[in-house]
Amino acid sequence: MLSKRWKVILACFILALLLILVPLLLNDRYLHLLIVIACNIILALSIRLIFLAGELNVGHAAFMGIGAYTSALMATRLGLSFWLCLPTAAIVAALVATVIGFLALRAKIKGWYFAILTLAFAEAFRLIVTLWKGLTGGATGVLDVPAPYIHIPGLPVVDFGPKLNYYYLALALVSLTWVVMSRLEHSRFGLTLTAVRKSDVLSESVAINTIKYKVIAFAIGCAFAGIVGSFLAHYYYYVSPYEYTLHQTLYMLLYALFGGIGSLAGPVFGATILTLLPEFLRIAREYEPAVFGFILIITIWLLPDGLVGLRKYMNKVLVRV
Amino acid sequence: MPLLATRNLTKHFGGLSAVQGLDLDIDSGQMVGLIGPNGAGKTTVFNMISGFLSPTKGQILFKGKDITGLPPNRIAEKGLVRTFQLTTLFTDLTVLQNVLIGCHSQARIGLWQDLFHTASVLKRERKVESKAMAALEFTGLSEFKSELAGNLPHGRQRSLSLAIALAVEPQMLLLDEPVTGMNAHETELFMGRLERLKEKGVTILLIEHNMLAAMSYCDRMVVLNYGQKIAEGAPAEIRQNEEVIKAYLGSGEVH
Repeated sequence: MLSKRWKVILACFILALLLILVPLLLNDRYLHLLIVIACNIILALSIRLIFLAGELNVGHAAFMGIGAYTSALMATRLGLSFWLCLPTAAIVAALVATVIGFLALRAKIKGWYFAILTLAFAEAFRLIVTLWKGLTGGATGVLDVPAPYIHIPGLPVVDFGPKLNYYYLALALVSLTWVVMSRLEHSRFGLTLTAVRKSDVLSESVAINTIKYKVIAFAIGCAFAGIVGSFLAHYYYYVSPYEYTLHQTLYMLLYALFGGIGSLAGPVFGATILTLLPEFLRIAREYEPAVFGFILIITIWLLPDGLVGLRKYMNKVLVRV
Repeated sequence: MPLLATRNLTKHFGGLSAVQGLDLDIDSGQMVGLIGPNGAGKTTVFNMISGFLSPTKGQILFKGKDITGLPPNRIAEKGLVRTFQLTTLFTDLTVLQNVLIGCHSQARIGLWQDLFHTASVLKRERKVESKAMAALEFTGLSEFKSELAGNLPHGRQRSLSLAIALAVEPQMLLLDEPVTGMNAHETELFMGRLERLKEKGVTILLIEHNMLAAMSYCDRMVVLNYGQKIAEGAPAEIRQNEEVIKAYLGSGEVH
């Protein structure tokens, strides 16, 4: 019999092999779907990190937009490489989040008020990019964002025309997100975030700087939103203000809630299933928001711990049987 | 120089003056009781000293340095740690996790080390955990370390509050009615622990309703009524003090 540790390692290895090899057999339509799933997983995991610090970011899509515009403008106006644009997008999104988070939390804006503030920020962002035509191209957006490529002297150029290469990039980003999130959660930092979420009064009385921890979580979460924004800008070759709305944020929240916000696996399942679902509901496209709304209600009503909670519930039922 | 001093400490809530011109001097190594009838302003004094409320007027000095208006976490960092009147715990975390959170200030290395899980992190976590266990040992909770804090009986929850505060490595403790709701045996155990802390050099200021417990353990007592200090001195003197008797009995309340 294998020990539990080896079982986990073996399972991870097989999963990695599948994720790397199976896409070789898929056509562009399915590759596109996998890429979107990867992006949605990153978004759901990053919005969850902020939630772990006890705050709700209703402006997550706007931070994705900040990353997208940063990256698109750097690439089109300054002609900079994607590999420089991507980290810069993350840093800019994180910096904006740090400033907003710090100012808001220091003024004791938290809980529902913080959520409303981020909502207002997202609307302000949308209006600014729509109206500041000189910089952002207004409602048209930024077009012809170049695809990334890898050119190492002596080796053939890797071009990101084929979807398969984008897929591997998305896979790398989602793996990075997973590793960072799980490391953070299972470290002292994660324990401190839990403390801050459960009781900021008790946390402060044991010398925890609650504002600092909330701001750090907010900034890291928004940095990952910025990464997705940058990636998608180059993947779709354009950015426009209509991609980064409240609607998008609500979907991210739904992914996290439906899967279960209590664990890292939850948002991954949630994002995967709910990204695939509309593909099977193609005929009912115009009803999609209604279907998602219904799912949200059912989740909150019957599955407060999400899909991941369902397993625990099933275990209980099975034990009773 | 007193370890903790307040000068003309005053707090108004609108028209109500909860605390009025309070001068406190707490010397290092003492156990001092802050007593007074309901609504005398005791908890307000605590909230101001620990940074949860900013005073309307006056100054708070800890180790000779002005700490007035500092945020609570900065004050705790300086070694002045409080507990709460209503038991405040992380109820759905384990007893050990509660105390580990209390070890926060000794556990900080940095986000990057946490992210890369370096050897120094592991070493730190081991050190912190043994410190947390020592705090649990001291408060008699080590056998309940894996229990959820919310499942402990009331008396043990109060002890856990103390263990969390001890994890911060305080030089001075502010305890807000620590033995409320404990039975006589638990109270005795708890006060015995405070005595031992005092011997280790921890200064203690505690709010107490239970006059008997306060009288038998405290070196000095300060009596508040309507936000003002009406008496101060050794327990024996307080017992004889006319003002105090009037404040407690004259109000129609017997404690």
